[in-house]
Parts: sequence; structure tokens; C-alpha cells
Amino acid sequence: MKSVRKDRLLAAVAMGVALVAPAFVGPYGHYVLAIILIYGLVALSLNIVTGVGGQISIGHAGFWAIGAYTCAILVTKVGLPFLLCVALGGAVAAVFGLIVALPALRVQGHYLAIATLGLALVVQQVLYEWTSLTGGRGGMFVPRPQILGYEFLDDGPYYYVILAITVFFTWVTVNYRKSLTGLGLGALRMSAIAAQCSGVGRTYHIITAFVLSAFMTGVSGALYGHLIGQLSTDSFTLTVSLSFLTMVVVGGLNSVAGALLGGVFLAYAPELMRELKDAQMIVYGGTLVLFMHFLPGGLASIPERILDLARARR
Amino acid sequence: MKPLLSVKQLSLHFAGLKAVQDVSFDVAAGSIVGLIGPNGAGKTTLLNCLSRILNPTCGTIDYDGHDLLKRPVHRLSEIGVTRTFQNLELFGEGTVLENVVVGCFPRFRSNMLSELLSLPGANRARRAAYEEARQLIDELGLTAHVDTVVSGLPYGIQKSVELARALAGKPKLLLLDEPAAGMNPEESRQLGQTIKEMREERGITVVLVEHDMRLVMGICEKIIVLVQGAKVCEGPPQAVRENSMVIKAYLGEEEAEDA
Repeated sequence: MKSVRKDRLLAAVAMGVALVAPAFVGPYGHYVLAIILIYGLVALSLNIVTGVGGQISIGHAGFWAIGAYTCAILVTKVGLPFLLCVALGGAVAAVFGLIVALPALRVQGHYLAIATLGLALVVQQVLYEWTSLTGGRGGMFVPRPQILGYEFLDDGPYYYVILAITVFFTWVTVNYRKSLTGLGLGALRMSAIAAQCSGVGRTYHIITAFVLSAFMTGVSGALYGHLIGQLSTDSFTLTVSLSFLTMVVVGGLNSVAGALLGGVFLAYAPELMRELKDAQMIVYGGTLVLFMHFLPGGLASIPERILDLARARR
Repeated sequence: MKPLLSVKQLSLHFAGLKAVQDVSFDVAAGSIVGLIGPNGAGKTTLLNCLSRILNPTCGTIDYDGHDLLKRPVHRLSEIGVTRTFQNLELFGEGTVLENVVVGCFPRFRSNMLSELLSLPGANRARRAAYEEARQLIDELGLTAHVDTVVSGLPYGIQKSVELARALAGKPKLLLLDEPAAGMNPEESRQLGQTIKEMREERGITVVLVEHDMRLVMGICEKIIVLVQGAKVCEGPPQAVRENSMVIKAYLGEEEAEDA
């Protein structure tokens, strides 16, 4: 609510940077930029469920995988158009979001984290075993995206497609956060009893939040598959789920800008930690704890923190 | 005239403990009714049954033609039943305005897809909800705090915010759980005034649980006394004050102190 003009200015600057950035980097840079947006989309979806709703999900790698495989399978085996398949990838993930929301209605905190973790593991296992559909251990090849007969052979042009979709979902997330439904979900997080006595239905709000969130993550997964060109279950491990959660905490759980910053963090983190392999989990876990403790508002809260410090000095 | 609220043979048992036992009473439309009794008498438990937070073991609650027990907790506000809480239940990170807007919730809902796409209908409904919340905040003298985050406000103001949120649901029946807790005698006297005004100006029927005897005796037309989950007496303040059972169970010490 505060300083709408400042937010608009910030959004305009971010948009400007996003539009011109590809001109300054090479093909690998285009790939990284695309990855930032793809992660940013996941972070936005977690911003809804975890940031606004306070529901911890370690299962988002599951939705991501479902989106990626659904889209890739529909494109390669059914031959539907790319953009339609992206939407269907989101839709199938959304159905699983609905299924995960059901335990969320009954359990909270650690228990919900474990339930969602279960989903991620089951999805990964099924994709691994269902060889005829997913290629199993060998993985599957995903063709370059095609829209209206134009094939996006390079990541540069494809980046702009992803940018358009990310901008759309950023707008949707902003709308959700200021809507009465979003306000109701936040109210449920802060006092479930008071929110319900005010007329906020818990079932409806939690289910819709999970469905919307899973849809966005599914779309992100679909875009991801076509970016890297091949899918294997290695891309959707527990580490990925944990890194998603780290990303939103590092970026800032309670702001849209924070979610997108989290995307930047996650795009670069593996580059820095490549040598660590499985030990990455420890770094993600450690980062999560450190941020929760010392900077609960995430990177997005740094300007505010500095302002507070400056004021305290005076 | 048919009562607004009619509770019949309501009981709530937690395992062996009979928290509420076979309680029946009526609340006339436009009246202020007090629920009193010693600590652990089941007052708050009874209020929690009325607001559907707890499920009674047996009994019926009839409100304005609705069978309350057939409704889930989040569908009471839409038929005009709202409440406040003994230990404040605010949305701590939200502003005063946001807290009160949540109270307006059921009357301004729009479909989620139109909210996500920021369609004009949804925007209009949201603006109307905020407009109404602002107006209520002005009426309750909270204008100075409208954009303040509630967790940082003093206790007394927080209580007013909670009342504002309950009023935002346009209740016909307002349930107050110890509204005067933590207030000094002057604040409590003012609260009594406010409750009476709510009844006069907004036509709200009030059921309150309260320990402050001066407040209860001062504003209630009817008082219901609970002891160990059972109703021992019911009537106008004077009759309750003179009832020997009540004096024995509860008022005795109180009266001695006052004298």
C-alpha cells in the first residue's frame, strides 16, 4: 500500500533492465537471464503460498517437474502447439496443487513440509520409473520452442517469450496480493480463528492458493524444459525443492521484488557452488537459517534496513 | 416476540469434563445480555459454541431462523454474527485498515479470476470494502492510526481495532469476550457507553462475557450466571444480585468488597 509511485518506478526500471540486458551479454548470458526469470516465476508462486499464506512447501520441485514433463510430452508425442502445452503443463501441476492442498488443510508447519516433500519424492520416482512416457533414467529430448511456425533456435529470442510470461504472472501475483482473497489468506496466516470469524473460509483460500501457485510453478517447469532441451529426473531432486525455498527466503518472503531477486540468487548460486555437488544442500540449508535469523525480510529488505540504520545514527 | 437467539439444552463435554451442561437461554433482539460466573465456569466455552469455534456435544442454537450448528464458523459473519476475543486476535502485521477490511469480507467478495486479472468488477468491490472500512475507522475515532501496523499500537487501541473489525461485519448479534479486560474503571465506563450506543445507533444485540461487575450490572438487561458449566440463575441485574445461589457461588466476595 505504501508508496505506490516508488513501486511503479522500481517496476519500470526493472522492466527496462530486463528488456535491454540481452544486448550486453552473449549466448550463455541469454541462457542465464532466461533461468533467472524461470526461477523468478517459481519464487513468485512460493511468495503466494509461503509468503502470504505461511504454508511451507518443499514440494514445488514436484510441480515444476510435472509442468516440464507434461509440456514436453504433449509437444513431442501429441504434437500440440508449444504455448498451449505450457498452459496445460501449468494446469496439470495445478491439479496436483489441489491434491497437496488437502493435507495442508489438516496439518501445519513441519508436518506440511514433510507431506509436500513426500509429493516431490513420489513425483520424481514415478517419472523415473515410467520409462515409456518419460524416458526414465535416460531422460527425454525436448525440441526448441515454436510459436506460429517460428522456431526459437537461440535463447536470446526465447528469453523474450519467457519475459512476457513472467511479466504477466508478476502482474497476477501483485493483483492477488492486493485482492480481498489475498488479504484473507494473509489474515488466516496471522490468526486463523479471527479470520474465520470474519468470514474468511480456510478451505477455499488454502486450496486456491496452492492451485494458483502450482499452476505458476508448472508453467515455469514447462518453459525450463524447452530451455535446456532435455529432461531427466536429476533436474527435479530434493536439492531443487530446498533451493527453491532458500531462494524465496533469501530474496524476501513478503515482497514481489524479493521473489524476483530470489530468482537472481538461485540462477547464480549453482555457478558458485558447482564443485560442492551434494554438499550444496548444506549450503542452502545454512543460508536459509542465516537469512531467517539475521535478515528475515530477505535481500528485498536491505534498503529499508539501511534507512533504519541511518535514522538510528542521527 | 421471537427471540433473536435461542439456545436449548446446550452441552459440551471434553472427555470427562463437562465444560457446558444443559444450558438454555433466549436473547431478545436489541438486548444486551451478560454471561457471568467464576473462572472456569464455561463462559468463554459457551461463547465459542455460539461462534462455532467449538462443536457442542448436544443441544441446539437457533439464530434468526438459522440453525447455527449447521453452519461452519466462516459462514456466521454473513448472517450477522461476529465477535471479539478475550486475548486479542488481530492480524498483527496488517495495518488497522487492513484488519478492519477483513471484517467487511463476506459482503464484498468477487470471483478470484476477476481479482487475479484485476477486472473492473473486482476492483470496484475492493475499493468499496476499503471505503467502508475507512468510514468505520473514522466513526470509532481511529483515524489517526488507519495506516499503522496494529502490532505496534497500545493495548487499548488494539481492543478498539478488534471491535471495529467485528462491527465491519455489520452484525445483528455481537459476541464480546471480556471486552473490559485490562481496562481501568474510567475506560470500562466508556466502553459501557460505547456498547449502549452500538445498540441504539446500529440496532446490534450484544452478548458479552465479563468479569467487571459494575459494567455488567450497568448495561445488561439480562444476566445469565454459569457455575461449573451449568446455568444457576438468569434475570435482570437486580434479581441476579439478590439471588442467594449466585451470592454464594460468586457474587458474595465481590459484594463484600464493594461495601
